[in-house]
Amino acid sequence: MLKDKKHKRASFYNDAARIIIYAGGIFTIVVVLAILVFVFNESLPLFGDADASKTKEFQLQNKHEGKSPLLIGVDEYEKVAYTVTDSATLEFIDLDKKEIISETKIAGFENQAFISSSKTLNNNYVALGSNQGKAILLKVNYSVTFSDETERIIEPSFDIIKTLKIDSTNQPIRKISTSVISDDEWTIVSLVGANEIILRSLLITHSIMGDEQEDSSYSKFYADTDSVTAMAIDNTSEKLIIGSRSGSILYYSLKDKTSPELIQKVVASPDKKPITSLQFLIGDQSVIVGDAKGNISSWMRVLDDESDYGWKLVQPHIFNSLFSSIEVIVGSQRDKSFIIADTEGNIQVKHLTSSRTLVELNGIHLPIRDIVYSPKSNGTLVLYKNGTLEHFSIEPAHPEITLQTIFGKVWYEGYKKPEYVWQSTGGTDDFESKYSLIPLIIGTFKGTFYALIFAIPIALFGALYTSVFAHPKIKSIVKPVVEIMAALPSVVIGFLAGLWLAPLLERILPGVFLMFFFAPIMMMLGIYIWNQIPKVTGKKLKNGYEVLMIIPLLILGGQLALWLGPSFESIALGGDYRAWLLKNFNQSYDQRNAIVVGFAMGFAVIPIIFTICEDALSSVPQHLTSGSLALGATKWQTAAHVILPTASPGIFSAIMIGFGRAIGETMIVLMATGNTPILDFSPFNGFRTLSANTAVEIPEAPYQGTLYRVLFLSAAVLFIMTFIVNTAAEIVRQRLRKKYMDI
Amino acid sequence: MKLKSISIFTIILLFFFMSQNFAQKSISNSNNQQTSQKVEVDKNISHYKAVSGVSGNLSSIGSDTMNNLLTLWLEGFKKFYPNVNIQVEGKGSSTAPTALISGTAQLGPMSRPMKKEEIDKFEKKFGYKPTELRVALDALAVYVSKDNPIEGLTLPQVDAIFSKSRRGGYKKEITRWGELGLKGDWANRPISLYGRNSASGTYGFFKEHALFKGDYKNSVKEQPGSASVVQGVTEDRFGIGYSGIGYMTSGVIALPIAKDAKDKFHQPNYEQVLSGNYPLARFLNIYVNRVPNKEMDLLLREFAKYIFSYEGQQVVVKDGYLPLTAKVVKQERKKID
Repeated sequence: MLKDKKHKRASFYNDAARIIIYAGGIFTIVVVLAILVFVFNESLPLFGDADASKTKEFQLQNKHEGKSPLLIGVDEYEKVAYTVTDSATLEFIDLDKKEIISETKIAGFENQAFISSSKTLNNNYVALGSNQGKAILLKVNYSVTFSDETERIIEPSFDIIKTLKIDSTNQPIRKISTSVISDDEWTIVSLVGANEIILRSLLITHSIMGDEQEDSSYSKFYADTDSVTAMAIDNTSEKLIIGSRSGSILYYSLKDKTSPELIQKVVASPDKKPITSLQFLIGDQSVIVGDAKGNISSWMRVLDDESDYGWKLVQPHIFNSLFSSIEVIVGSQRDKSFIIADTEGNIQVKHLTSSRTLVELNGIHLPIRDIVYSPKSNGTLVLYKNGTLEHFSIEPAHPEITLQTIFGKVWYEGYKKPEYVWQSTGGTDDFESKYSLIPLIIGTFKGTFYALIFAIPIALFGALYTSVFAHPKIKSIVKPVVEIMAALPSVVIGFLAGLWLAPLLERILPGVFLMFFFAPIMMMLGIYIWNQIPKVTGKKLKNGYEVLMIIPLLILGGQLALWLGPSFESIALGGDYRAWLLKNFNQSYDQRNAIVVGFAMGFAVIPIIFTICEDALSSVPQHLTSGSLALGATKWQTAAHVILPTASPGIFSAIMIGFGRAIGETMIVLMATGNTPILDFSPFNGFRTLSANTAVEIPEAPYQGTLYRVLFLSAAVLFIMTFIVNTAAEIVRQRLRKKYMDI
Repeated sequence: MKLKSISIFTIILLFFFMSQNFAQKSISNSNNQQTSQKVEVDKNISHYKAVSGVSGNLSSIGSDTMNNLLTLWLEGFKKFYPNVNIQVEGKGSSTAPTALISGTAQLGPMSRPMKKEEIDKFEKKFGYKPTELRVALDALAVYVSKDNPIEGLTLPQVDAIFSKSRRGGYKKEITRWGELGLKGDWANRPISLYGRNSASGTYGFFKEHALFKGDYKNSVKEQPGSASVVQGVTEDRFGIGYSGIGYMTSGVIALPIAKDAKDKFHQPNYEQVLSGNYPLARFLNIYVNRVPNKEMDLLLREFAKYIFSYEGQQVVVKDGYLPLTAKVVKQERKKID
């Protein structure tokens, strides 16, 4: 009866334990899978497409009155648009009511017609040129107030900044382009005749006393081409790009406004077709060039040591062509995307960095007059020559991301050649984000590599010594001490490595390298002395206590190496090892480098590898060791040929667990390296790992923004990497196990 | 067993010794800070008058540069209102907009102006723009170790040291101290670069104004805080780094900076910042969420009033930053009334 009860209870516990273990195991697997699904789920929308849809289409009334609108602009909420017509009127259009709410005649242009127009990137300033050589610079203001119900009220208005006669000849202004830094600082470039360029600029400076000083300049020059077909000035008034009928672009420097200087002339159209449209993108580094055949490319200037000026033009991106002559290009005020349209009314949104066509806007396919990209880059207004106005809303998603920009080389603005770069955020909107994961992946492997080449030999041989050769008493001290090392939080190790070890190592590096020679010598010496002692004293020493002799000698050797370090440095390395490295290997020594991390992360990994190795070695069956020794093999032969092979699956998994720890380690790398995302394997400089990068950048990443998703993608990459490595390791381990099972 | 306890004891001893080392260092740092420079707060800024009924919680998330400043303000404010709790977290300016949008913070200190993209996100959530309060002046300083004999740097030189794009127009990349005219054992030493992580507003501001919007070199060691930049430069004799003037210690020198080769070198002090000669001067901002046409939340308003009072600006000086002028204070006060 009693026995039966006991039995029942035992089987109950048995079942309960089984259920709990099963449940726990399944739960773990589910959780890991769920995390995995979440990580992938967060990163996958990166590769999604942009979205665009037509929301409004209506006819402008002014067309019926014989006036033709020249250009269009819009406020940031896409409520009020403005157009300027050829008969010198400016109209504000309420986009919700689809009607003109005000119409103002621009004074001073009676009996004249505007024939050219241009607006600045922020579409607040408009320059217009008339058929009688007169130009005007307008500023459009939107004042936003809130009613009591916090409803937004937008009051549009405009100011005339300046009306000016471009010069005395009264020739019609065929093309006009403007750059405005403020009301008091602007430049207007006009084209009269075939290639006659007139530059007018103004700079008013206010002194502290309130005096105004006006500094205006005028200059006129002939472009180095027969016929100018397009021109664009950048927003800082420093660069002027002119497109010619023969398909070349001319780059003029406007640093000195009174004498523009031709820097370079290059053929930009592959078929030498006329350049029809030019537009600087935000940041003023890249100019988009469109020709009469629909070819689109971007050009930018890069540093060039050979030319006198120091800069030259290069063509980093070629985009998919449109179908006919490019009519309009407008840039975004938020990122590097732009809208481009041809004469047939094909409209596409493209992105510079990824060279991608984000979305095609399905309009009415009629000739286009002008386009405006809304200030927040979430919509666009298209003005057709027949007076139709269309509005599209655009959801750009993650325009700068393609597999190519994440894993491939990209030619970024201002770079001499395509490169792998990680530089995710800048303090300004015109920053071109650089999201290459390659430097981070390389950095991850670099950190792991240096940690393991430091940790594996020490941990492995340490474990071999303690388990096979050392006296059990020594083992009982060494093992717990090493295990205590594992208890150190990695942030403490990282802190010490960054703030204490790194400066120390920089001072004593030559000595540290000498240690690698001194240590083996001292070890040999120690063993020699150990063997000599019985001969001298006649007493036999206990086996397994050699280490007590070796350790003091090793410390002595280390001290000796440190002491000799400076003299070694001055004799062999020319007095300064950093200069020597730079001179002979072109390696600059960085204080926070891979050696420091190797030591620190090695320190964190050693206890793991050591303990598991030691356990594996100790669990080799006693009968194998005894048998081997009984057959006359020495201790070393037994260790190398019997114990090591038998324990190899365990040792292997120890190393792999160490590897896993090192590859995912965050805090040590974060604190001990400079987190420099560089691409090389030199031990003397730093690196940035995937995990440290995520830790550094996640607080600044806006929820579900591009950076946020890229960081999740980097987590997914890290997961895939460890998954592959672990699976491979497991396969190898199974093989080893099978092989040595029979022994 | 005995041996085990001895080994543990040794390890503890080792740690104790090291922590002693660190403690000494940090004490010496904080001492120097107070003796750095004497700046007087404008007498025309009115004193703070406490009102009744102020209590509750405030939290601030954002700039690391302004971390100490906010903590000191909070201490000062608590003297008037002991029932107020304020939490300060400073991981970098880029964390401020995210926190303001999600509502986890009422104060968003930023050492750079908010990007339009960030304002867009805020506006998308609330329908109006965040209110920017300029709370202090800072001279973003370029630090070198105290042994460094260099006289000063021009902005294009700074650009050529830190940036790979060299938009400042300096002809050659600068990698060694010798290229800046230093002689002797300095000549061949590579320049070791310290900077902030990309969440930092200082990172963004420096990029915009000192690098002319160019890109940082990959070899710039990105530190998680301003203090670690200064610490890095202190420990690294051949280092150079940038941080707010409030983080200056005796281990480093804040270099005089010139706008270009024609300009004279200007010290990063109050006088040069006010005259506009020092090229890396900036405002430190706090962004708040204020509903238009509505009274500001009492606690938030009183905290802002405290910042714009004589006492509040005195705290700015205490932390090593530069106080606002009475004129700016008047403009800013309008935004909160």
